[in-house]
Amino acid sequence: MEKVVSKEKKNFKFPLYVTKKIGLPAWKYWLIRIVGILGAFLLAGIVCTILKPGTFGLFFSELFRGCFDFSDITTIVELLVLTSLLLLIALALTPAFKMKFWNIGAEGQILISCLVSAGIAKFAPSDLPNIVILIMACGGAIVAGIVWSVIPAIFKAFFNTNETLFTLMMNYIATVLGGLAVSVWIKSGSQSFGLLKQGIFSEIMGSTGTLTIVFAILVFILVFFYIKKSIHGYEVTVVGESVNTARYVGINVRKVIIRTMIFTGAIMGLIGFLIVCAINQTFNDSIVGGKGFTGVLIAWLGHFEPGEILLFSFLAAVMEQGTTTAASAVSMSSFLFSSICTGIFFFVIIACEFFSSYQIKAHHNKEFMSYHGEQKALRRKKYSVQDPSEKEQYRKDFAAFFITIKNEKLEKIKSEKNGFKRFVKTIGYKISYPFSWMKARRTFNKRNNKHFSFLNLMKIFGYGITYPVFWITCHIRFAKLNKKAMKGENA
Amino acid sequence: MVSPPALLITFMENIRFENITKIFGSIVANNNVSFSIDTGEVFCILGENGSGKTTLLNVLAGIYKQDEGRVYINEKEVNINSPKDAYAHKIGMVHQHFKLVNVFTAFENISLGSKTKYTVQQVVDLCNKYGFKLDPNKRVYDMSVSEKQTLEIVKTLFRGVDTLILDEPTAVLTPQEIAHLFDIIRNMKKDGKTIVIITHKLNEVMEISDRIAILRKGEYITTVKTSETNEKQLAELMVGHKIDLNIHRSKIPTTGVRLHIENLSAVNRDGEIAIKDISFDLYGSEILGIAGISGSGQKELLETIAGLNKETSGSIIFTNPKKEQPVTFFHKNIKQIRELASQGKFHLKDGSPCDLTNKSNKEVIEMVNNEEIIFYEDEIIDLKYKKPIEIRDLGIKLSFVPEDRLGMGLVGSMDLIDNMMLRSFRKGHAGLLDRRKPAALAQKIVDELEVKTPNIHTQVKKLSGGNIQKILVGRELSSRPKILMTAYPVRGLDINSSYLIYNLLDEQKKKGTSIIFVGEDLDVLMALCDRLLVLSNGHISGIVDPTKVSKEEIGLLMTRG
Amino acid sequence: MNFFDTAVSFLSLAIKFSTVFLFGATGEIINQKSGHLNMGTPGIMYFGALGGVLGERIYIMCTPAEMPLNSVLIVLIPVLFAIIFGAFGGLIFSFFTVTLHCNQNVTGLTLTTLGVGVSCLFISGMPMDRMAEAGLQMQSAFPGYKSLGWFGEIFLSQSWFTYLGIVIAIATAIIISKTKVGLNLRAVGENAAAADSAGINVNAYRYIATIIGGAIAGIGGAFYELDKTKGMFNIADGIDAFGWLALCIVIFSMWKPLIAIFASFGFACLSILPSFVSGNDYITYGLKILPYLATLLVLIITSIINSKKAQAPASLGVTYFREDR
Repeated sequence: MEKVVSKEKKNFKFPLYVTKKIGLPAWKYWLIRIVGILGAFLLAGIVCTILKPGTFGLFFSELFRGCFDFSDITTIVELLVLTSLLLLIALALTPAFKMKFWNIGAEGQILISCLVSAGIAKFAPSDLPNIVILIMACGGAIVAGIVWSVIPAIFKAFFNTNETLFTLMMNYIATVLGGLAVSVWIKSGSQSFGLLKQGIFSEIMGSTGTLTIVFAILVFILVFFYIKKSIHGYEVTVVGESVNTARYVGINVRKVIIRTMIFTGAIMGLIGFLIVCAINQTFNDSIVGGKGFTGVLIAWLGHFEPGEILLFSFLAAVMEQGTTTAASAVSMSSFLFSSICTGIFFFVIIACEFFSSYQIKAHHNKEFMSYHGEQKALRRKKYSVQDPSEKEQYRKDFAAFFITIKNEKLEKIKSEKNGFKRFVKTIGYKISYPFSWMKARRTFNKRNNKHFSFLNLMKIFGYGITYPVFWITCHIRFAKLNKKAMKGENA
Repeated sequence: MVSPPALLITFMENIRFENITKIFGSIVANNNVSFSIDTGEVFCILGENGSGKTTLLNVLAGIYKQDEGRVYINEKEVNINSPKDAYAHKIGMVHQHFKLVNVFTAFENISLGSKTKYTVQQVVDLCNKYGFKLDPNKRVYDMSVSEKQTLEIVKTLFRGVDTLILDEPTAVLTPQEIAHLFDIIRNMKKDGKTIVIITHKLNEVMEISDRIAILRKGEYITTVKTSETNEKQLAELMVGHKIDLNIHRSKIPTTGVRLHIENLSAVNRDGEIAIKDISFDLYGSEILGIAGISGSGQKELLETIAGLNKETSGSIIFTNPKKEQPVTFFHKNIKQIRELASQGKFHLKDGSPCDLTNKSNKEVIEMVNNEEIIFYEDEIIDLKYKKPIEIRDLGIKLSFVPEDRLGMGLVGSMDLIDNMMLRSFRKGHAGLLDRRKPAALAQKIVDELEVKTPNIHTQVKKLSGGNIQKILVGRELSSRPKILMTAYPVRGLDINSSYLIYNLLDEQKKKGTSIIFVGEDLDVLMALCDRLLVLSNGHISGIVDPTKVSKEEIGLLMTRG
Repeated sequence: MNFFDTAVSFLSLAIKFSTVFLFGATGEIINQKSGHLNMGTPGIMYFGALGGVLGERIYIMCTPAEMPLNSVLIVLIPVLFAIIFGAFGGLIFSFFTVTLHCNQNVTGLTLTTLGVGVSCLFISGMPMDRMAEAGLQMQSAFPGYKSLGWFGEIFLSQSWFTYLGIVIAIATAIIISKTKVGLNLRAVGENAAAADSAGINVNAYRYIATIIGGAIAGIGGAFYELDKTKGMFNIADGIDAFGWLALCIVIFSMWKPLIAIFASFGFACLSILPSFVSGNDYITYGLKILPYLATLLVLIITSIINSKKAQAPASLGVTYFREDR
């Protein structure tokens, strides 16, 4: 049976494994998330400092100033407008996601709506009152949004076409159409669309986009009721969970898919209209600027719940607006810097999701449990820490134990035929010396029902900080013990 | 690959569990289980569904890692962290849910993950040695269930295992195939291998095993020698108290044809023919069992009747036993009433037959106005053109539990109330849902069927399999169905719940419901059903009276054609 | 320029473009065969681009100004860096999906966002001296191609990257379908539970497949970026558009690298068509839509046909967790 044991030892075993955590209390869950969010901001600050040294404090002050400058109410309004925009996008996507229809075409759907409302706003006869132009633009945008959203839905419903790639392609087609529109509509040579002269909202509280906030609140309430309280929302949940069950209770799955995407498209249309006629008052093919994808991430991180989506929209808005301000303060490209920060932000939050659902456990320490012969004598002996003579006995026994283990390890390394591997293993052994020490200590203590607080201290202060110190002290201690043990043997 | 003959093994290879505990969240699957298995014996681990047998052996096979406790092989403690480690210790497991790659051939599946390169000849040799029937070049998606199981066993043997664990191997086999499998097991035992079988079938345990360990609700009870025990004692050990293993079958007369199926054919979702030319009648107040190996078309048959699957040809005629209704002059005039009365179609209110021959027109008119003449006319409905929701409203209910735990009929992430609402969610006002009635219904089912749940707001997927099934069946029964179609209703249930369900079905039968019962346990089918329809390869091999045929004959019918 | 010459330069350019696609598609095929629907491939290609530029920069910095740039090293060093950076991108993806059990779509999209930001930031800050010379050196593997007329112009004027791409694609096809490792990889992508119980280390396979796939995709990104500096490319799309189209090519070629070679060529032709056809805006932009429309058509047609042979790996997009009950 030696063969079996050594085969086991040859396999590299990663000492940790992962199991599912069940039943995490709500407060712990939110604590993890809050820690994560703060960590994300911290990380962004560190990145900023790395790119432009010495700007750590500046980053945070600019971040704060960019979002919450109470002296200039425009910043707060802008922040709320951005939050509302992200919120609207994420809310629009929520019913579809609840149905497990992975619509990542928000960019294209919004862009098409922008295109239509820009066109209407620009070319409507100028003798019409502004409000009429606005209504026409809104209506056109909604229709465009619905059309762009419903096409992938139809193909999914009838042919089960992969909606992720379909909507992705629609994004790019929309971008090309946007470029076409810009080049066709602008007169002679100038690259930009210019500001709209009609079909726009006037400034309220320092920003033209203030109406977005109102719409966001309305849509929030609408989506909340739609998903949780209405029959449609119920059907959406059933379809998302199990198509078979849905069919079984008579739900027309195709109708539900298409209907939900019409809902999404309508809200996307509204968003497009707001972007063109309220917030930006111009048009080009990159006017959505990646917010569609950000909305997808927000919806997912918020577990498709309106309340959580609200929170994450706000945080993402803070991150984006704050980092843009900070970037220009330290003279960095704002688009790129905020992309990086947003990326970091989402990665950290995703990692938090992991920690709230799973936990990491360590394997049983089995390497030292096979030393049956030598350990029989030491097993089941109990030592008391207070008694000095017992302490001596403990040290002696532990020394003997550790020497045995050390020798076994060295034997194994010596038996390695390949010279290079032997070299590597020796180095590895030398470096991991304190680990062997600690493992041996812990095993020994466990067998003898003793708990050593020093090892717990290590856990608190982190191995990394104390490691070099410990490495040195281990050698010293062991040398002392070795001497004592040898003395004891010879005596 | 093939282990040396028994003579060369010099010591008793021995597997020992010591204080094994495994917890999933709040569920204790194994609690301090300790026992040992000797070399070269056929060892059975017996317990009902949910007792922890599969979990325990998953620990041995490296799928799970125990939370506490140790495993010893030949008195040496081992640390099994993955299936690879288990194979290193020459332990292999054949799971209940096959772990095969569908698009590969049998040979590719066998070669998967092995360090040495195998040849097809080696596969053929091994099959011949033990008596397996396997075609190495057949792709898994073309295989039948028993072929897949054979492949799993061969695959495990190729790893050079000395201990073979079989998890519920007979659940998917016909009696003939079970006998064949037992022969193979005996061959392997002669070759010195240790076989561990996880099962809950008492008669098979008595037939094939040497020793039996019994688990109950995660605890280890005892180990007995097969030669020293009997089925009754085993059942008592499994459940913890004396149990009557008899399924009660009420003998009541059937009432008229309820469902008339003629030349029904249908295709399944992949477009292949699932059922061909099925014809049978279903009577009121009877339980019609459907037996057949998995994939014979049972699922498609039920779905077609329920309207979830379009039939390609044939007819489904449903005779709806309508409530009694008074005769009015809207329906017929006096002449027609007299004619129909003379044909015996009418009764009086007290149930006695209606004889109008001696009554004058005036009296008849008075009787009609007083609603004294009742007609009881069955409504004949062709289900062919009806949508599923209409079919359900007619009282034809389907309760179906396929392979996955939650089945078709429940939504796992929703709570009990929302699941009750699956039948009635359209009845809300102004597009909003009404949760009051479903809540009351949920509470009623929890009370009557003793469903173990914290409350009715718990998510259904958090409950154990037995309770989930109780909710599903309870919901379907609560609407007083005319026809109840249930497939594998006790799959995954413990004995008490299973018998509860059998009794429920029997009660429903007494109330006049027609029941179609698709099951895999032939013993249960033969005990519970009034008639047994055997499907094989999509058509009917026979309709038999279970009291007059043997299990072997049914087994033959299951594989014929 | 007469039609023939135009056609020749068209084909030559198309092959060059198809290289970028091919690298991306091959990398993604390896990813998807292991079960990872890696939507971070555009971001990983950006990482590779960054690596390539960095590599070239370092090589140029280490070469004294008088010495001409070696045409082999000018390919080798950027490729090396691109591989490292691309592999790193793949490592991030697998870490989040395999170890942290995250949703693959979300991780991929986040990675793309990050990749775009990080790479563009650093690339734009790079000094550009001697880049033109480097680009020239990188141009063709066989300097004598001009003497072979149109054949040489089309097939032999390509950079080493192109030939490398084809070799990698063929090697991938052979490894996946003929070797033991390929069999195990396919098993992991089809049914991770089956692979696990057969003793295959599912996590290791997924990690390594994603890392290798990322490395290959990274090379593609590097090639695009390095070649662009010479101005031969006048398509305004960034690398991420290539990345998304590479994803489509994977589906189009039904996860077979050999078909991907030809599919990449086809898509490349569609992509560069707009710059060869002059006309009004409508035609230009209309032609730009063609690749995406072609992909849509492919998606629709394959989902209608729905045959067993051409299916995606069954476990695509599904994270494997052994203790899932």
